Amino acid sequence: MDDHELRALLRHALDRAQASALSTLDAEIDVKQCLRDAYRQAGLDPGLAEQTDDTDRRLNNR
Amino acid sequence: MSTDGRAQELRLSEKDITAFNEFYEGNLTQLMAAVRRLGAGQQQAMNVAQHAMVLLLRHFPTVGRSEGERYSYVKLIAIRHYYGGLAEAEKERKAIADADWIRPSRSTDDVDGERRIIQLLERLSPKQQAVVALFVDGYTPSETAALLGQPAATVSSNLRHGLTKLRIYLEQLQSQQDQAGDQEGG
Repeated sequence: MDDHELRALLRHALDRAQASALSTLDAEIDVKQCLRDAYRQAGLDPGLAEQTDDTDRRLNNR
Repeated sequence: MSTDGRAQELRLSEKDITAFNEFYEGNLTQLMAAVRRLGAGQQQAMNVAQHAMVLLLRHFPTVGRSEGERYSYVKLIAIRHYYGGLAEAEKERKAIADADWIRPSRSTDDVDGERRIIQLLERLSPKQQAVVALFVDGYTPSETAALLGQPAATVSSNLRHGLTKLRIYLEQLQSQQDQAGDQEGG
């Protein structure tokens, strides 16, 4: 098996595994909580994680 | 909601915060999956992805303008951070290595080919696994060396040894599957 064939074989397996991992992660990870943690780790107010486009629009309409 | 004092120190505008939140929520799991592709476990992928996202947050106003540029930034940070932390992972991996783990299961031969290949990849050292994953993604050894901040000779050596091991593992696996088939047939 040459490098090209080996790469194709591995790519197929890794792509399938990545798609499967992504599906699992989407179901298992609480992204909003992770976002709050990211603000905390950056030394910022975790409440900033709640800011959305709607918040922006309200602020801009004041 | 108003931006607090510390956000002001980082010069994050309301627009920056909204854009970061959208980027984070839309890309965290994708980034984690990309790190897992390199060989990381789930918690490790979470830690690495979070590290990259926090760095993005700290430098958000100066890092790219498009989602694609920001994703390239966090992916680069994540790959480097993961690869840089592999020395400890390598020790753990060696401690739990099980030399005779290949046990073809007749009941799953046809349905689990990809999983078997992933298991073969997991037999490589963590650094070999990461370099092979980047090779699979189309990076040349010199590009991988630049990406990881490693000497090209080191990357080429890891890649060569990794691919050689994979060929040997694949041959072993094929041989064991052939033997299992012969026994079933006989």
